[in-house]
Amino acid sequence: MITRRALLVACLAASALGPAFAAAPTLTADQILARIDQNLTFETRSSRMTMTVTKNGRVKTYEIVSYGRGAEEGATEYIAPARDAGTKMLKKGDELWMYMPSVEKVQKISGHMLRQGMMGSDLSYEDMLESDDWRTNYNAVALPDEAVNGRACWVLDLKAKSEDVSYPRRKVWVDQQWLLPVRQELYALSGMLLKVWIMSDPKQYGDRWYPMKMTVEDKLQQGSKTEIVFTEMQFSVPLEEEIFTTRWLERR
Amino acid sequence: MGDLLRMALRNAARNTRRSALTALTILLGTTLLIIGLSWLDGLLGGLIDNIAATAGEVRVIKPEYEAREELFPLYENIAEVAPVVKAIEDAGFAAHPLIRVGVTISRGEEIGEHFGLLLGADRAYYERVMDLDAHLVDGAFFTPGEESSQVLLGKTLASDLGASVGDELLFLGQTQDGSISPIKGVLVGVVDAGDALSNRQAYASLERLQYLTDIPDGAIEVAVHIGDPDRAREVAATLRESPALKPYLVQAWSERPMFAMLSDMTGLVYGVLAGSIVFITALGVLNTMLMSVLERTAEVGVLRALGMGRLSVVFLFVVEALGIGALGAVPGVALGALVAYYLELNGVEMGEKISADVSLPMSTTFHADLSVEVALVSLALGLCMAALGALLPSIRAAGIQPVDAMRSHR
Repeated sequence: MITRRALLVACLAASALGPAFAAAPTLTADQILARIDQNLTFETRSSRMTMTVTKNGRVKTYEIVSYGRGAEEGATEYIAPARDAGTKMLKKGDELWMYMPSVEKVQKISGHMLRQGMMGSDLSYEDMLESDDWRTNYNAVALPDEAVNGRACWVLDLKAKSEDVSYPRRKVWVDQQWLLPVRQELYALSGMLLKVWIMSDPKQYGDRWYPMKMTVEDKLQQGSKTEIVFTEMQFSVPLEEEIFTTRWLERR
Repeated sequence: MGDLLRMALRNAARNTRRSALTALTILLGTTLLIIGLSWLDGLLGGLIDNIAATAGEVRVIKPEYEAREELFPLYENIAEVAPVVKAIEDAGFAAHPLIRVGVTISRGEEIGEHFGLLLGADRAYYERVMDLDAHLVDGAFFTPGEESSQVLLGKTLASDLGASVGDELLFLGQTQDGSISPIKGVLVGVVDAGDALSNRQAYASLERLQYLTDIPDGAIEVAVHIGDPDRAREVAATLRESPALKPYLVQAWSERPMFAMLSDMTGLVYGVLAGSIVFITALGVLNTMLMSVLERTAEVGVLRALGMGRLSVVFLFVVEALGIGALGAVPGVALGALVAYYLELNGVEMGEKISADVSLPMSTTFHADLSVEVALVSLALGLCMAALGALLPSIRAAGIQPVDAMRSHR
């Protein structure tokens, strides 16, 4: 009798919460991180995107072509606006190189420069260098599920395993269907909220869901927002070996 | 009154050793006072001169810029600087648009090792205001027509970078939108700009800085040079009336919060210094005058018995002290003035470390600034020391009852 009543209460609760929570598979925090990593990491990727930076009442839009190979190698080239066209960046492991066409020079970005906003955006160069492999970098604790935009999400509290990461703590809302971190709150060691990172408009590529739009808000700068919209995306494409070398940076 | 005056002055000569000691105390007090006050005047005056040389006695900025000035908010710029310059020039003053930005400077491949300030200004500013062409320690000044590819470095920055004339330097700054923005420049000269802050800066053309910051027709501030810091507030008030300058903040140097605070602080130090010297010297005078009163208790009793009023007794001792004070204060002022004059002429080299962590254009050599006002103030305070020191003993003397005085003597 008690079992039936409990079942009834559970069914009523599930129907009240909506279909979002009904079909959630049971995954551990570690398994969720593994599935996110599967979605966000890739063998090779080629993409084109627009990056719109809104800051201090000014809006600036960049067009970018980007290539990636694994978690350690990435290359981007700015196509527009004219002032920044030809600017290239190359990520090799934990090193970042930049080619600035106006001075025809390749420079390694290091030190305090890494913490600056990439091309004035709310994403730092450090964000760009950081590996997407969360399982390696963070310990996860599952918090009670929540809904984001009406969709069921697992909520994970990620604490960094070492000091090498940009954000010592992340609170992540993971869509239970897409296995994507649809919302992230990035915190400093002091507990101060630094950024909010939204991933939306996911598109399915085979078994993988990938967000076609990302919005990053810097909570330390009022009204500061960066929106990245992927206009083209291809995974597992053959990429020239030269792209991931400093020679490519200087290639016209 | 004449008798009292004569008696007071004669009393001053009665115990020559004690009077000499009192005079010496006052001499030391006034000497210290004139040196200290001249030194403070020199320090503040030098700072104001440097501010005028680097930022103008008056400046025009966007009002929002001031609140976050230490962060160099490039987006708070004067987008169209030409009408602002014209309005200032129409009012009869020299105007120089400036852009100052934090940069990473490199000679090699890696960025991130050397930070500095890069200033962009017109040639006239560097020549007439900063006088950089006269302060070259190596190389040459900007070549006319080639300013856009050339840079100058302050000597400290050049030394930190290990840069030599002819080196190509890369300056990595930011646009007003925050994008990384580089410019290259050939180092043509190294300057000793006279203050630590300026010696840690790099200098380029305004045009190059406009490109670097992506403010093509603008500037961060416009420095107004009037040649007289004391007229800054008056000129600022006049310029505020110009319609072209209405949207902007027109500030005299003394109205800038940092310098207003500095000025208040200097005033406070001025007061504390003068007050301390006066107090300590007056204590010395009080001590010797108290001895005089004790020695002359019976004499005062007799004078009081003969009908001398209490006020006259006070007058007697104060005038005696003033006489001795004058003997000390006049040579004290002369001696202090000599030392202050020497410090004004030669200054004291403090080294760059003294202002290394201060974002103020402080000179590395501190000079005193001797003035008639300081000399007169020191002389007056020297006499005050004597009068103040004598006041308490003389009041004590005035309170002596003739009967008590004679009884104590017996």
